[in-house]
Amino acid sequence: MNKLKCVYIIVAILFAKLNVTAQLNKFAVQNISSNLLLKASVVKREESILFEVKSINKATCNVHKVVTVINEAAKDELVFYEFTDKFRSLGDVTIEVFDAAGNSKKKYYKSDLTKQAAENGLVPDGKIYFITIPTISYPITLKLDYEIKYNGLLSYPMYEIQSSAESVEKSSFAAIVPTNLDLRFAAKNTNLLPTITQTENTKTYQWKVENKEALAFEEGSVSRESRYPQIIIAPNKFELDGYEGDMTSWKNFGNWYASLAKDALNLSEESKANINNLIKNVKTEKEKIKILYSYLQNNFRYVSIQLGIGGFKPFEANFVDKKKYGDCKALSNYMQACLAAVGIKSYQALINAGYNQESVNENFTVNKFNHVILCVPQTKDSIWLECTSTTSDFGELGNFTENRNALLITEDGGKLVATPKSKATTNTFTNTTTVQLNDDGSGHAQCNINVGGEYKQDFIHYVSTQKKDDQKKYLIEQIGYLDSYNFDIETPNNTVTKLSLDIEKLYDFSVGKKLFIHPRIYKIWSAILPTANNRTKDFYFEHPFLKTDTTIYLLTNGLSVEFLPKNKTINFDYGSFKTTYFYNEKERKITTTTQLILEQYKIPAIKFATTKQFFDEVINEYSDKIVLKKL
Amino acid sequence: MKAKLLLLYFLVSIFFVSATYAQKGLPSLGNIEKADLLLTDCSFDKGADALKLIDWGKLYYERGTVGVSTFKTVYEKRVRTKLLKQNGLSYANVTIPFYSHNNDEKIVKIEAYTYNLDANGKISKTEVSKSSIYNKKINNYYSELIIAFPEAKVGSVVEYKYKMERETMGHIKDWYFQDKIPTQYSEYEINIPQVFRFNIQSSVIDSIDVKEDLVKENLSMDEGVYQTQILKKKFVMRNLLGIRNEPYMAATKDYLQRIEFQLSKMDYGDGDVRDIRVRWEDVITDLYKDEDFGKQLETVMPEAENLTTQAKKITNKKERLAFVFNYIKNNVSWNNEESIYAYKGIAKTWKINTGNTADINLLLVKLLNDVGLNAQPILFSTRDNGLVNTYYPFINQLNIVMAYILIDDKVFILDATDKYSPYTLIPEKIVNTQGFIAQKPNGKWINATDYSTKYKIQTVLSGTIDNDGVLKGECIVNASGHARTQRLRSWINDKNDFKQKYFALPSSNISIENFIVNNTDSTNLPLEQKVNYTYTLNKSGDYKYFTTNFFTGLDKNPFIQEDRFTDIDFGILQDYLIYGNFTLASGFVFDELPKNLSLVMPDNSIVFNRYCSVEDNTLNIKITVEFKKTFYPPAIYQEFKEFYKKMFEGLNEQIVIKKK
Repeated sequence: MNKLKCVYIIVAILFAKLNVTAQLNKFAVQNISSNLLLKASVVKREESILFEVKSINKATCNVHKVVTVINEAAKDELVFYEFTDKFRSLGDVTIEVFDAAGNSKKKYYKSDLTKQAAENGLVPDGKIYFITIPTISYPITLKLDYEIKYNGLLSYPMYEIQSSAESVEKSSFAAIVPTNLDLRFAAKNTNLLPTITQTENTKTYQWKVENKEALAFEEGSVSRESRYPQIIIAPNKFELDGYEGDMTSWKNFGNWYASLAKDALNLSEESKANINNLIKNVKTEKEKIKILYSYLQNNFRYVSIQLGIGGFKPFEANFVDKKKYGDCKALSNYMQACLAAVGIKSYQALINAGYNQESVNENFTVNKFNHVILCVPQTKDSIWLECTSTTSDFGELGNFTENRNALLITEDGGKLVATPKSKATTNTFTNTTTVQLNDDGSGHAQCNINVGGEYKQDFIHYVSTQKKDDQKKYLIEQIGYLDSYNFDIETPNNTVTKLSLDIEKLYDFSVGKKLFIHPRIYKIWSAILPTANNRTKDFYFEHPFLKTDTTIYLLTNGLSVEFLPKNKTINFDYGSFKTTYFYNEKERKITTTTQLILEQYKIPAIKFATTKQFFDEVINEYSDKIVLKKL
Repeated sequence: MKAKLLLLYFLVSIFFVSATYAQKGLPSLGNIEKADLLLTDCSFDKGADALKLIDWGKLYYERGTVGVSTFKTVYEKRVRTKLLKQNGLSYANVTIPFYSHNNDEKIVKIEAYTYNLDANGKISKTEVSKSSIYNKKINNYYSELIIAFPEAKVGSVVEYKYKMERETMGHIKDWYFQDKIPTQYSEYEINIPQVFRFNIQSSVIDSIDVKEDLVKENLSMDEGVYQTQILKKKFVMRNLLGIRNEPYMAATKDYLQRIEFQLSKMDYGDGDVRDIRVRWEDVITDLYKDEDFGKQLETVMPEAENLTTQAKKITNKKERLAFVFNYIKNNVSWNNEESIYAYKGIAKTWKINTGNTADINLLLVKLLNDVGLNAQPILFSTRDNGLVNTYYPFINQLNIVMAYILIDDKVFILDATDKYSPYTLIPEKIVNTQGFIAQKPNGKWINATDYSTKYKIQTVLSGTIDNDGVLKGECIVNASGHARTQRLRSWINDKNDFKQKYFALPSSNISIENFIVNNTDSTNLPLEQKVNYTYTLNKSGDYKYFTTNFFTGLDKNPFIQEDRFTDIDFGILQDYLIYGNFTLASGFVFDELPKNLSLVMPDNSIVFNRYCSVEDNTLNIKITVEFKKTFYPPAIYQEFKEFYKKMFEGLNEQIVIKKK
């Protein structure tokens, strides 16, 4: 009897279990397989995107997506945000919210979204729709269904398969195009291939993925746009605001851009005469360009006004000439007009700006640009001009646009050309300090700081244009100078900063009569690089650099040298660090020299561990102290 | 999103003709002195990015649009700015926000110029054309008028003047004499017909000229033309410093010298003067009539019956309070908007589980009352919003509403929008400020003081140093009081950011692992943060050394600025304890130890103590920092800065060991 009862109970439990399984909601978190929860903050449960091109300037994109946000780290997934303008509108929107057990809790519609002016720039074009789905606890699941309608397209939407801390249960992306238009695609960080089917008039490409585990986030990687697995699709032929174009080659895309700007190079005869007047006694072409660039920098300013067609058509040179402002396109276009007025040929160049942006692909034409600069071809090494900066050195682009391909807009269409490579010797920080040291370890220091390249830009931004308190704060908190009770600063020009400091404590600590003096009165490097375990992505420094320091301590008779740190040389694949210490007893003078070089800003993933080790050693070197003894 | 516009309607319709009032002394719009263009720095605020040469405003009344408002106010504003530096060029892009909903505010006229010196030193004037003026609709309520000044560069002067009309009578624009950049001349003139009497709240420290005149003017009403008096009042200030952000600064607004207005009386003639809105009790009356405040508390909430029935079963009042508070806190999320007025209303908020502060906290007040607890709304100005002057019954000084309740003589102030603060704690946003209990009939001011709950951080570092000079150990940080709330919020919001904020590695020779945070759900316990660290000691010659100041919450001295212009306002009393226990391997011995040290601020308001001792091969170090004040005016900044410097030297002193 007992046995029977037992069996009965087991059966009952089994039934109960089965029942539970049957009742489990589709979107319950329990249904997610455990491998997809590893390192994931968000799980894409379902996704099917249908992008349908109806004609050269009409398309729709229907998105169905279910995401489970596992924890707060992915709370951005709770923000629904769409940009709309003349060429892009938002159709119906439904957002349904489910709790962890997969029970439907709420629904939101388009009427619940907030609509407001876009926030890109002073005068933006377009509106944004957004809503933040409220939640108190996680996990939470959202089911999104919405439609985007295109009325003129330059770019096709991308299939973003996954990003960091995101795993995928099931996802697909289909693009249906009229056969006569077709499309091109390129896979990035994935080998995924589409299945292609064809009907009489249309062609369908479909990509599918399933069961993708979450990717780790690696600090300091390439920009977000290029970091994750994705399929980029691009039109062959397109039309935007009545301007028809062909994107099958860089040449043709360049032609299209040129057609937008073709009437913008107008300048009044009076302005042309003024410009010619500026360079009238100047012989060399380079000098002429330099004078006109400096005229631009001193009289014009960058203002972000995103009007015109999708922010592509520049203001006319005439307008910029009158207003003395413009955005990157408008200022580059104006500079081009000025150069043309004095008989110098130049080309606008489209570029994707940002220190960690990847170079555009030579073999796949797609619009990934967000900036315009100007290129003046020379027989050797073209001159590049950043027309939005009032502080850039003539012919120096800086890390914002160096090391990549730019699309020159020439009379023969677009041409991909490499911008200059960043060089360590451009970005220089040179400090010379002389310290008059007192017996008690206090002293007076005079510093001469010389900066070039990116450091010069930093110093213009944070030092020479700032008030004294902010200058001090920057030097102490960012460059690591010792605090001083008297702080005087002079910036005779943008490359030179002179400091005069009274410092109470030039030593780190003292033991008995021994003073442990800092090798330098600031930190030559202090940023700790991220941990190096299993890195798969290249690491981007902001720029290569050359830092040089000479520090001289002048001792009183009351101090003697007990110990000098050993001279040190550390090399790694992309740079070196070198220190020397020397004591001249006759002059009672300790001289320390330091040089830190990083030759290359982009470090291959495989070399990152040794790079980290190198910089860790550089940081640690600061703990090597000069030991002085009070007599 | 929903702006509160005060519209008053009259029984008698009044029409009023304003006469223009000539300004004397000021250069007129469009005329500039060469000296202003030659200027290279601000004489009274060196190194400023830009300088407001003239900031001028005038407000007067005109007849309003029939059917909308009897009167409208006309606000004219003119600003002339000298661009001194490259960074100051941003002042050549001007944004004027206005409330465009129903055309309530309209900019009816705008005129602007850029002035420069040409190559020959002659003044050139460029009128800003329509092509440089943009109208940007932000949303259904607000718009912006944007002027991008042409021909603007370092050295230029830009100037604009506009006229804004507002269909309202009971509201006139407040005036800020001060801004982020220095102001050379600031003038505000108001022209108020006798029928209106305004209270003026003035927050002014520097010298101000005030001129007052009564002028007879014609006022035509439906019945005919009457003569009435216009009060012309003019406020002028000169040479005002730009206000900059400083560490631990209270609300910027508190430091901007300004005048604010509130309608107080109506004069209907023949001695018939009626008080309106002069006392806090009137504010209460209005609040309770307001559909977005008092009417909300009258909402019947049948949907919440489940909750209230359950709550009513709890006999202990505090437990009942906690039950309702926690329910709302855990089920209704805040949309990050602070207001004293409900936006969606409490019924909708209950339904959709989200709302602004008023939606959520009025819902809380309502439900507490529904379960037999006598809660009241209480209004505050958050610390970020600035100080309240309780003498002036200006409701617009207050920006947040919470729930107030007294149980067994203990005060509870509850903010259900703060997920991390327990009900027993006075919310950090408003602790140690004054709150106005919106209690019928008169309301009541109370001090929401709590100096017993502190911002408390306790760090325990323990470890052993092996014969290679590697220190390995554990660090336990306990955050309690307001520190618990702050750190918990940060931890939940962004764990990486939390680590960077509180557990930043001081140097590359320290690494951490096994980071855990405990007690996130036990509100009565400190938030415990635990981590294992490995510290390869620094070495110099025969010595090795290390710091004991890591992960202590006192890593960096924020007060390195030579001078200070605003008060230091910590808001909450702070308390730090650092306890270190380090054992040496047999090969090493401690060298000279940091001495015991005691530092006291001259007014005894901060006490720092350090004790150090060695027993066998173990070092014990204990550091305490105790604050008895939260507020330090600039007058004692030098003492304060000196104390902080000494204190950080004391915190950062190295422990030195050497080989036996």
